[in-house]
Amino acid sequence: MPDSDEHLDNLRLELRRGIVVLAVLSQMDTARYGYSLIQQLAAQGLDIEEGTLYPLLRRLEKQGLLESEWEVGEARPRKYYKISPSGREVLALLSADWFEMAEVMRRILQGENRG
Amino acid sequence: MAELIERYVHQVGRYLSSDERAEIEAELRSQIQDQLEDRYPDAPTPSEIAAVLSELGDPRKMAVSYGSQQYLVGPELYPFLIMVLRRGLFIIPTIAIFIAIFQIISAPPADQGWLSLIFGIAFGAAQAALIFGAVVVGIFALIQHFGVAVEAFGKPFNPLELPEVGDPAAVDRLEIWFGTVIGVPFMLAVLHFLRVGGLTLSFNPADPANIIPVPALWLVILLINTLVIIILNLLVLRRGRWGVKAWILETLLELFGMIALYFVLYVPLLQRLLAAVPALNDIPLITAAPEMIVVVGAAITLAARGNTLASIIAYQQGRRSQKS
Repeated sequence: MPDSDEHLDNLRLELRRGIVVLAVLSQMDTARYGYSLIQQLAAQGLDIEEGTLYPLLRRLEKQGLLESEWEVGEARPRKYYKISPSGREVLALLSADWFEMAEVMRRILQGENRG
Repeated sequence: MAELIERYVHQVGRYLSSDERAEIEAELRSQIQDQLEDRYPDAPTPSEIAAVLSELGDPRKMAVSYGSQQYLVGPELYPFLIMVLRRGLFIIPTIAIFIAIFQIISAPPADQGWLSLIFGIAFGAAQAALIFGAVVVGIFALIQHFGVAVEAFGKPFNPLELPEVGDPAAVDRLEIWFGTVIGVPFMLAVLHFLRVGGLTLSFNPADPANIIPVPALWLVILLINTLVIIILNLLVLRRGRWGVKAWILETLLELFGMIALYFVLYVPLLQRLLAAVPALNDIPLITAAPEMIVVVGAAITLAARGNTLASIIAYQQGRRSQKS
């Protein structure tokens, strides 16, 4: 058992780190702004802190996986993000990896092959 | 409402690079307002805004999560930095002391006691060490900033070339390269002294300024000695290990180099210094300083290198008995 809640929180954070990228990419077929994406993911059961998501969107854009555009026609300007063609390719590959890993982990955790 | 948001955004912006500050600030401002509008459709109170901002977290941490990790000197360069500082913080003050002595000889200070003279020299050496440290850290920070690939300085990693654990004969590649980098300008300086006929602080061959004559023969010996040390080190670097013979030869060359420095540097400088500042004669045992420097230096070298030599011999014997 971890010796503190903080330790457990850190382990959870490590576990979620890669999943968050995959989850975000999966929701970006439609152009979204930061807060709407947080709500969208929360509605599906994945809570992400604002302080994590906003910088992540920018990093994914820098990596070429997302594209962005400032929308100035609304009451005030908003930055919308959308998945890029290379982001779509990465999403397909990561999704395949995820399903495979999830299956492997299910077997490991349920102890099918435990000697 | 806007004021508290602006204060937060401004604090985040302080820690961001100037080329992306405006963009991130605009984005963050818009995201905070989205959040507030969703949670508090009517005008939010300052405490409600504060609650949203505290969810976003400390502005400094927020700024850090926007950027890649920033180092003055990163983990790849750090071992090189420490190596240069360690060697340099020994070499530079030593050079500063010799330069200060040279300057005193060239222009003897009037009516100065030997204690204040020594204090002045020590202060100059400490100052040189501090400046050296600052300049070296600055250069490494620039290398880090401009992303010069560290791999370019060494061979690609090959696991088969990893030194054996506890092998005292393993070659320290960085040590040898550093020695060579120091040795070459040292040889050029000795060549210059040979050409102008003695020690000088002016490296202009046409105008060597004040010269302290030194025996040319010992300058030649020092030059050849340094050259042989560099060649020996490069040969060992190629071979990858120190052998017993190479280690003994290197030790003898180092001892011989100290004797050459005795004739080329210590004795001439002290003689001139005592003539320039007679007050220094009051320092006990001052006239024996060159001999003491050589004897102490030789004792330290013999103890350290002798200890390693014993380890190399014991290690080689251990390996031989394992094979048989």
